[in-house]
Amino acid sequence: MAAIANDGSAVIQREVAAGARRAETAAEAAAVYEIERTAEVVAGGGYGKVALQFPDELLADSTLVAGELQRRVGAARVFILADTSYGSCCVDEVAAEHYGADLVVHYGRTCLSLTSRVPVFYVFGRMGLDVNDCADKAQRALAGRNVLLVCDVPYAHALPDLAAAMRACAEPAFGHVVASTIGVLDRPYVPGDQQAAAIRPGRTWELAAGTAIGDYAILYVGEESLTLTNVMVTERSAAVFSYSAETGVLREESHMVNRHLGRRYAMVHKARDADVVGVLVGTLAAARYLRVVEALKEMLRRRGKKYYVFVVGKLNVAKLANFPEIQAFVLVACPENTLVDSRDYYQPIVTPYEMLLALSRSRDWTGDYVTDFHALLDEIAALSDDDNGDDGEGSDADAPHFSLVTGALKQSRKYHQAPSGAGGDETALVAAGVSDLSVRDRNTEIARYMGSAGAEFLLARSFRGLGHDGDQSAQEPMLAVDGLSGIARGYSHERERAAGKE
Amino acid sequence: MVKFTVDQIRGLMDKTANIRNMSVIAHVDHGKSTLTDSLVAKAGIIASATAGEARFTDTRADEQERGITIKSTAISMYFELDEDQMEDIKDKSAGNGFLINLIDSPGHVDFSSEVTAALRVTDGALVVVDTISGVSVQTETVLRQALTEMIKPVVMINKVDRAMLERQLPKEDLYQNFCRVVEDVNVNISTFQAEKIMGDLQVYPDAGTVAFGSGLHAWGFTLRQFAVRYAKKFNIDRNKMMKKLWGDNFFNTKTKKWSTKSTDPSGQFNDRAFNMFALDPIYRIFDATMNERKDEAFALADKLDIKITSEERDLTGKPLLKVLMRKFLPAAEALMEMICIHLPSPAVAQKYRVDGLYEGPMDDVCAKAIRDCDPNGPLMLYVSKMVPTSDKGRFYAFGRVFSGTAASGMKVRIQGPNYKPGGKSDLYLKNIQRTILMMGRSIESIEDCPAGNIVGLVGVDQYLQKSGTLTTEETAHNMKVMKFSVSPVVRVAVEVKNQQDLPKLIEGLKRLNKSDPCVLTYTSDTGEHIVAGAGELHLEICLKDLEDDHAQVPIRKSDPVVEYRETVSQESYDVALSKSPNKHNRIYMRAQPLDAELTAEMEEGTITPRDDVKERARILSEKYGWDVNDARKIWAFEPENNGSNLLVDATKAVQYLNEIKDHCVNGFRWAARNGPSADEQMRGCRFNITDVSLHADSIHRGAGQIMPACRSAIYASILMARPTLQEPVYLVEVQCPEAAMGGVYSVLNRRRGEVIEEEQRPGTTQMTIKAYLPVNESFGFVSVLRSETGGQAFPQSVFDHWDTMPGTTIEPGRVADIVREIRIRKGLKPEMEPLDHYYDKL
Repeated sequence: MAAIANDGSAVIQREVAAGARRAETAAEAAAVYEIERTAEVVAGGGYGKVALQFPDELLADSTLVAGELQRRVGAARVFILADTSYGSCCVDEVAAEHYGADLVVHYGRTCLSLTSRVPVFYVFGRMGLDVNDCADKAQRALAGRNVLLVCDVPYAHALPDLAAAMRACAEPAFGHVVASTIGVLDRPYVPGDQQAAAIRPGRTWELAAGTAIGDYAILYVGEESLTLTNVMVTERSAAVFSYSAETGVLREESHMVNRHLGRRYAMVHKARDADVVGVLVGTLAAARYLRVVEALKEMLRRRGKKYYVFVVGKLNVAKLANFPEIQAFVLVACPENTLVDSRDYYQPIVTPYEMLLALSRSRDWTGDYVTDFHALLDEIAALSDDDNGDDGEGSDADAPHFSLVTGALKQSRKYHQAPSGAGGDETALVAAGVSDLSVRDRNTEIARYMGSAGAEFLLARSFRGLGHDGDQSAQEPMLAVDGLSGIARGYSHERERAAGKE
Repeated sequence: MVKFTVDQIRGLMDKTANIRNMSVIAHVDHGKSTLTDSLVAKAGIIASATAGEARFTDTRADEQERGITIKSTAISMYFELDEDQMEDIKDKSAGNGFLINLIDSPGHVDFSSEVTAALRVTDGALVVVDTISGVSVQTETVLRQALTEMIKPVVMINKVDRAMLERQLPKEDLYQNFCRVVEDVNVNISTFQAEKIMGDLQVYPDAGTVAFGSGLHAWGFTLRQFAVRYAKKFNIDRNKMMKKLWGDNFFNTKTKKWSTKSTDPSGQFNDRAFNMFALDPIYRIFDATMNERKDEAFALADKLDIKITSEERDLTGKPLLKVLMRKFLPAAEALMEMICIHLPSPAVAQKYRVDGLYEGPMDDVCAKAIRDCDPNGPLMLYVSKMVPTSDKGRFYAFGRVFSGTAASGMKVRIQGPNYKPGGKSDLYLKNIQRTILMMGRSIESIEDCPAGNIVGLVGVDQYLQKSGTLTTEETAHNMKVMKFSVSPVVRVAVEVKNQQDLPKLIEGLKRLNKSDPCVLTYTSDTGEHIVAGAGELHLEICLKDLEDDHAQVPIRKSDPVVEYRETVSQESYDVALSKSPNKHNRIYMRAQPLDAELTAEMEEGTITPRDDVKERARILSEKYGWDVNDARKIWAFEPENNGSNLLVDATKAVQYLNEIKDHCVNGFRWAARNGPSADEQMRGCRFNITDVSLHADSIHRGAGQIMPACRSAIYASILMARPTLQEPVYLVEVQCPEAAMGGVYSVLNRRRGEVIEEEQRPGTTQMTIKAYLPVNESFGFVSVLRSETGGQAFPQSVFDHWDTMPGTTIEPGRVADIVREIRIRKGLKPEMEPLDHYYDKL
């Protein structure tokens, strides 16, 4: 039992995947992390407690930055938030509230979601970019094409320069060069600020008149990250190239896109077959996430699917595998975190938009993506309108659909509906909304389950609990016996045994 | 002129003793459809002049074009028998009108599933065999299928005209040829006939269960016809006469004496009765007409009572021959007689077929009704296939009423293949909108359809994928699902050329899936749309249908891809250990290959997870040398809960083991579906859980901990057991003249083929070569073979077995290359995960 009863030191000693330091000296830190500007904001807003949130890969620089900032703001107290609950791109409002922070300063890559309770100030960091080298390499690979420039946040400051350099290129010249901008305030966002909320967060761009995104090749400046994946999957451009500022390598990424899209497409089909859906709340920071969850629940209910809402913190396989009765998960998270490669997971994890496609009868997969909550809510509203229209000819509502996953017909299990032919009292229960109740019939032998996916699943299991280990034939129920005492790390009897050995 | 009305047919449908449901089965190009034409012509549906060329039952344009049957086609016909023919029918019948429901089936192996679907709804089979090529690979296959479905066969030896005109075989040689064919058929029948409950099923010319003739010329005979002719002349009973017309019965023309020896005491040769009485007139007609001795021919015709019109007198050569022969020995007459006399009526057949048809207990109300073919019992209807209608996207459900009566507007329970009695899944309560009669190209509406008949249904298609049971009885079990002799091993990925056509493609895939009993359409994990078929030709037809009919959008298709299976080639060299994500639980696992025979038995369904545990354990220990204790503790058969991989609990006294069983099985299911090497299905592996140590606290040994641990342990044990791939292998039968052998061999050699048998058809230069050919190497095989042999060699390939490839997936080599290729295609990392990815150190 040595390994099982270990002292847990491995967990303590496990290294966080810290990235290379971006700033070695105070001067570098001040430049990269815009410490002067931050200090001005803090002083200007009169904030007392300032929480600094770093993504894991920048934690190495955190103490340096905090120290420098503290030196400049004096009166205010600066502290570092570590170990974020979800993706490091989201502002960890809950953790900030634990310490009563007046302002969160968020560093590094961000999904730019708006907060609902604590003011937030985004610092992207400013990483150096060799504009000429990039323009040069881009010219070799992309000359003659329309280019849309997208970047990881630390390079946002250099993007206009890059665009200018590329436009200035001599023959062979580019077509249109469009630089995207990142919609963010240069002052802290205070929840409730109407004017600020009007700014659509995320990346925006204005294409040249008469062109569509399909006519452009996207040039992504920055290292490989979720942002790149996101851009590749959600934007249906002609091609995606990436330029790594660190290594100075420019390469085409788009061959990966189709694979990725294909896998997502397969997952949409799996989600369509699912009767029991788990709604995973994967963010606490994003404004309106609650509305999305509600909208999803409404949508699922309308389709007669059973849903459960989960909050599990950061996702991992083991956590989700604890719910084998769920057939598909839909993850409500910020746009950056919403695409989960669920190959290792037992059930598919789809985005709310994909769930919408899966549930819709009229809408089909086009490869277009909506990851933004605002747009998504609009879509869901539009879908409900559609459905109200065709609910009239519901005679075939229980017709099976052809599942492309298995290549067979799939009969949808309808929850939230009174089973036809159910007795009066049961129907009354359903009507009263007590749908997760199991009712015993008159013989009290067979329980009839009404809309309880969990109970159905347990019925299908071979192990029901409270039985006889190894002796299935025994008639009498097993008697209760004394359990174990102590903690899981080492129960008292295990300690005694260990002591006895010595 | 159609010689019957729908009302007449509907009337006969109530008289179960006068119904014959039969299918025409044979090797490809042995002349099924052509022969069927004679019957169709006799029924007046097509003109007799075109019989043999129209191929009425080949309803699709491409069937006509290619000259092969692709879909099985049903047709109902009405015939009347003469008095003396009625005498020979042993079972009681009502009147001399007979309803024959005939299904013409395809002969090409790729479409065998159509044959299976046809056989299910019929009780008898007309097995057509080419005189010259004899019993071929597909003849054997369809015979076996027929016998497992308990279908009674009769035989038609076809293309006798070719033997006479092209081969110029003398009478005795032709007789010997017939004998050989009959013997071959009988050998097959006795091998495949598992149970004797149907009595002796072998065919005998002297019993009238073998007919001879030519479908193309529309003539044919059974010995019964000649017996009738000569019985009067010799004044003996026609049944005795029939016996004399076959076998070693000789007649001396001079002494007019019968003998059983080929020579008489004076050394004079006697003539074999068959040659003399049956073949001689035929040979003389052939001889006279083909050698332009018309007068002699007409004289013969007069003698044989053949009436010739004045226009026909102007014909010469082959056309004249056809007319004379057709009038002398009409094929339809011989066939009809043979079908009505020797094939069983539904009332007779269902008595012994019920066992093989019904899943439920043999004493329940449904089984009884099926056994009695009771039109007033509960409805039991089996839908065996879907036939596209002219209305796009809708299908007729084609099936057979085994008991009760199916009527328009009737409310029925539609039970899919996953329906369990008492359960609610795969069950729909719907109305039959219309019942119809399938008549080749056209349909006829009928009010209702009583037990024993073949019927088409409108309005139930959207509740059934390909097949299913319809009933009115709430306690009814399903009818047994059909077992196909082919499986979809060849796959292509399809995609639309224009993205906006995608919905149409999906709709098309759905329809394609329904329209063919064997094709599989699905989306792979990588998001590709896959169409899987039995062979290259099958796929080609399916894709053409998809593009032209079902989806009607331009599509692009990938090269055909073969499915592999992952397996292990020895026992794990060490116990594999995996820890749960929280490190508090450990699972110890060993993998080992299963006996090849055992794997085959599991795939055939003779050893299944549903067997009685003790009984199965006995078989495993006696036949395969398993430890009885292990054999009783098989936890699961995966993938799909009936696969060929086993998870065995080989632990001793472990606490909480039952509690984690479901989790382990789930982990195992996953591992068996996606093996560690190439993400392909596992096959033929046994995994022994040798030990587990679990955390005492149940919260720490939940599904989330055990499932991944079990999967990793299985993967680790596989990687420690020389993992390798299995590839599908075809059995190819090539028929070619001796001169083309070299070409055949060189093509086979280049494609890793392995010749297992080589045989010369006696008396000819025709060779039959049997070989194993990896499916992967079979693409384009047919065309290459044709070009190498100048079109003289004709192959038939049918999936035979999975072949373990030499080498392992973890050492560099061919297998590892294939794995790499598959992984790249699937969008996985090109390199496999190493062992320590799954194997945890203690």
